[in-house]
Formats: sequence, structure tokens, C-alpha cells
Amino acid sequence: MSIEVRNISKSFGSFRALDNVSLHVEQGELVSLLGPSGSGKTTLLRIIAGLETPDPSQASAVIFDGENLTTLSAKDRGVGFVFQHYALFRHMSVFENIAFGLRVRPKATRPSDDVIKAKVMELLRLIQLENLAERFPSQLSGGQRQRVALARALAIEPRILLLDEPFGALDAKVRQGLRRWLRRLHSEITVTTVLVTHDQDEALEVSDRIVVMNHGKIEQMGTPEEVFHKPANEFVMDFLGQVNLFHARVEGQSRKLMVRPFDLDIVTTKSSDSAVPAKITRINAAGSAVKVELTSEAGDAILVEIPHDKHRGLNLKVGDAVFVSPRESKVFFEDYAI
Amino acid sequence: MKRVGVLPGFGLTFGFTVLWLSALVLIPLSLLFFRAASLNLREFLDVVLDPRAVASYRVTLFCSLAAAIVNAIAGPIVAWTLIRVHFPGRKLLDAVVDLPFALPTAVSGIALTAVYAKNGILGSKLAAIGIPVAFTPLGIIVALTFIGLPFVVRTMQPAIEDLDPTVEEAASILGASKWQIFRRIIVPALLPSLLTGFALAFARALGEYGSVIFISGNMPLKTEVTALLIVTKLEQFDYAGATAIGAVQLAASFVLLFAINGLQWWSARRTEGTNA
Repeated sequence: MSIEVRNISKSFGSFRALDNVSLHVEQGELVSLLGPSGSGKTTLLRIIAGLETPDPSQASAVIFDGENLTTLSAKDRGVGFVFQHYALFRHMSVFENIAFGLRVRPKATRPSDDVIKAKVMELLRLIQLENLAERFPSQLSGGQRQRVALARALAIEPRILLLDEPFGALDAKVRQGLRRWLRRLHSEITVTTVLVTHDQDEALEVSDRIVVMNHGKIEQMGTPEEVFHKPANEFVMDFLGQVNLFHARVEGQSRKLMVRPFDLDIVTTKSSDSAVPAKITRINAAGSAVKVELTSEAGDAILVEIPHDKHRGLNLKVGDAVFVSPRESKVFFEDYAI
Repeated sequence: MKRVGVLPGFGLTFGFTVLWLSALVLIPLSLLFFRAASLNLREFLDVVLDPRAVASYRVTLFCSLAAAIVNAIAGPIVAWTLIRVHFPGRKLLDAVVDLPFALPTAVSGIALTAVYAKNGILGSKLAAIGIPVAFTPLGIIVALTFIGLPFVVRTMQPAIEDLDPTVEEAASILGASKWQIFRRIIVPALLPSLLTGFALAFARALGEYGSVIFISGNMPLKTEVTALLIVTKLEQFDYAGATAIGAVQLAASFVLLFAINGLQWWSARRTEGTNA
């Protein structure tokens, strides 16, 4: 099921949450809406779900597979929705939570108890909680609750799956595990999925495509590689990871230069014209790369990431005077990505 | 080995609770039974099974139950409105709910009688369509509803505030209709607090005296509540008779409240998640 969002705007009082946004999601794709809080990503998701109505306009539409659903209520859209804080029915067991969407169907389309039971058990196997069917949500961990919420959303065999910061309330370790699990699950059931997140690592890891949003507008759409390596503008570059900002003269013009920490190198002798003298202020060797913080002569903070073996070879210490140079020409100018 | 609990001072707090309940509730109330015991069984039964006494039990029980049921329906609506609907003057209306708590009950009784009497503002209109209120059991129900309202509203407000709107959205997205959301999500979540409010309003109504005596007209066998019968006996210096009827009411109230508590416990167990 593909999703087409056309010319959607939404205002809350004087605040413009969405400003004429259009978006297309292909059948079976997992697309992330990524942006800081207040960027409009959750509002867009809620409009797709029918929980929020867009500002009235002739041009605006929400279309699933060619079917215009703009005026249809959430109840009749047949979407699965997972909330950040689970929104489980706490007076119902895990089993009844998952069965809810089937039990509330009108008599004519409601499956029999046996069919419901089989369906719920199948979903419990999928979320790996077969033996917790009779538990209540309060007896589950956060990660387990979110998996139940996902199973509940999948029980109605939704046309599309919408996830609103699904891992936002969980701790880092659980979040990572669930991310990978979600990715695997998505390749198994291939339901068109839109995921809202403010965590760039999460978006980069799970998505087929990423939609970067800011101030109610889409800044860039593309694969994780595209938005990470070819950011369309300064905002996207900055939001998708740490960057160092330099002011440089290029072809006689003053330009802003943005470089990722791992695209910088530390050398002990001035190797080229582009090497900048700097003093080491902090070294953090914990993690997959060594993070070296420096201060340039102009007083700007610079962050460089170098591999561990390189760090050992250089024998760097806090207070050392060194030079920072771009490793490759993978830098971002104010108006063009190289 | 002696098991040590996590919370300190179990002995102290438990001792205090027992002492406090004894001094304030158990000892005074048990004296009632001693006093009533000055009658022999025959005399006791004569007093408590007197037609006038039996009629008063019936009126009290019926009117209290009716008032508590009315409150259990109207109270949640008022509480819901005060929390979910935003309108100017909400805070003021919220404060009005507490007035039945604060007002001397006799004042409430006189005010209600003035309004619902045959020549009162509302009473005249109701009497015109054949529903006299003052000096009928309906009048008693009105008074008992009045004093019971804040109990239901105040116990339900925290539970309604606690309802997560995204849970209702989740149900809606899963295809539930408004009625199904109400019936399957909201009612089960609010049931324990509704039962508590109902029990409190009912208990309060069983013993109510001040607000009832003016509006009821106090016709023996028809609109006389047990509390009034007890006061009447006291005024006639029939202390033994008064305590005998008091003991019956006490025992009946205790049994009823204990049963409602059991119901609450049962419904809270069904909604296991609510206390976590």
C-alpha cells in the first residue's frame, strides 16, 4: 500500500506545524520522518493516521493506493499506530490488548473466538512473548510493552503501519535491540511503514528512506547514505551528526565549511596549506573511535575522530600543539555538497 | 527467624491505627450495643420490629440507594465535564461542588425545602405536572442526592484525570466506535473509583439527618427516616429504644459497606494494572 500526502498544512493557533508538505511512500517501504521537536513530524504522522485534520484546502489530500482518505476518520482508515508511551489498555491482559482490534469489529466481519485466538497466538510468537499472554501491561518491561503495542497494531492487518517515536521512552540498550528487531520484522511482513524519530542513529539504521524535517517543512528526502553523505543543506548536515564549522576563503570568496569529525585528521607537522594549528583540550578513547577535542588559534572548538591505532601511533596528550587537516575533500560548503 | 519488612515502624504505625480507630470509632460504637443490651431480647425485638421502625428502615434504605444511584450516574458526568471540557468559570463551578460538604446540613435542608415545596421555584412547576417533591420520599432522595454529590465527583476526578487520551486514540485507530471506547476502555478504568464514590455517598445518606428532616415532612410510616426516629426517641428519654434502633442501623450499614468494599476489591483485581 503506497501513501501519498499532498500539500498538507496544519496550524495550531498562530503556530504553523506543517507548511504545505507533500510526501510519497512506496509500497513496502520503511520511511523515517526525522527532525527536532516542533519540526512537525508527529503532526504529519497523526494526519496520515486521521487523528488530526489538516487545515482545509482544495489542494490537500491523504491518499492510500489511489484512494482519497482525507475526510475519513481514524477509525475507518485501517492503519496500525504505535504510540511513544505504548497506550496499552491496562485493565486488559496482553492477550486481550492484542485481540481488541478484532473484537470491536461489527458482527458481520468479526472473526470467531478460535480465529482470534489463533491470530493472537501467532502475533505473540512474532513478538516473542508467547508465555506472557495472561500478564497485564503493568507486569511487563518497557520493551515488552512496546512489542505488545506493535502486535496490537498488527492484529488488524493494517494497510500501513505508523510508529510515533516507538523507542523514545526506552533505555539505549533496549532501543538498539528493538531497532534491529523492527528491521527484521519489517523485512518479514513488508507492510508500508512510517516511523517518526528525533534520533538520527535510529533513522539511519532502520530506514529505507529518510525524510528530514524542520519548522514544518521537508528539508531533504533520500536514502540514509544520501542524506548522510550528500546533505542538501546546512541543517541536514548538522542534524545528522556532529560537524565542525570553519570559515575559509575559497576562490577568493569567504565560505562556510562543514566537516564531520571523522573526515578530519590530526598531524604533528604542517603538511598542507589547509592544515589548521590547534591545541588538544581533551581526549576520549572510549568508543569505536578516539574523540579528540581541540581549540584552534581563533578559539573555535574542533572535534576530530581518529582510529585507535592511529591514536596509539601519534601518542597524543592533552596540551599538545598539533595541526588539523581535512582527510578528504568531503566537506560541505554553504551552498553545495561535494 | 524474624522477618523484617522494608518499611520501618510497622509496630508503631499499626499500634497507632488500632488505638486511633478504637478511641474514635470502635469503643463509642460498641457502647451502643451495651446500651441496647439493657433491654431483654423480647423488648429489643419489640422496639426494632415495630412497624414504624421497620417502615423507617425501608424509607432510609430505599431513598439512600436511589440517591446513591442517581449520584453514580450524574456524578461522573459532572466530574468528566469539569476535567475534560474547558469553559469559562470552570474553577468556580468546581468549587461549587464542595458546598454540600461545607454547609450545615440543616441550612441545606431548609433551602431545598424552599425550592422544592409546592410554592417553590422548582417545586411549583413539578407539582403542576403531578410530581410533588417536598414531603414525599422523592424529597428525601433530592436531599440525599445533594449531600452525596461531592463524594462521587471528588473520588472520580483523579481517576478521570488519570485517563490517557492516547489510549482512547489507540482504541479508535483499532476500529472501536465511540460507544465501544466508552464501554470497553473508559468504564472499566473508572469502575473502581465509581464504586468508592457510590459507597461513600450511600454511607453518608444512610445516616443523614439534618438536610432530610425539613424536606421529608416526617410522616411516620411514609417519610420518616431512621435517624429521625432515633432522635425522636431520644427526645422522649427512651435511650434504650434509641440505641436499639441505632444498633440495627449500625449493623445493617456495616454489612452493606463491607459488601461494597468486597465489590470494589473484586473490580480492582480485575483491573490489576491500575495500581502500577
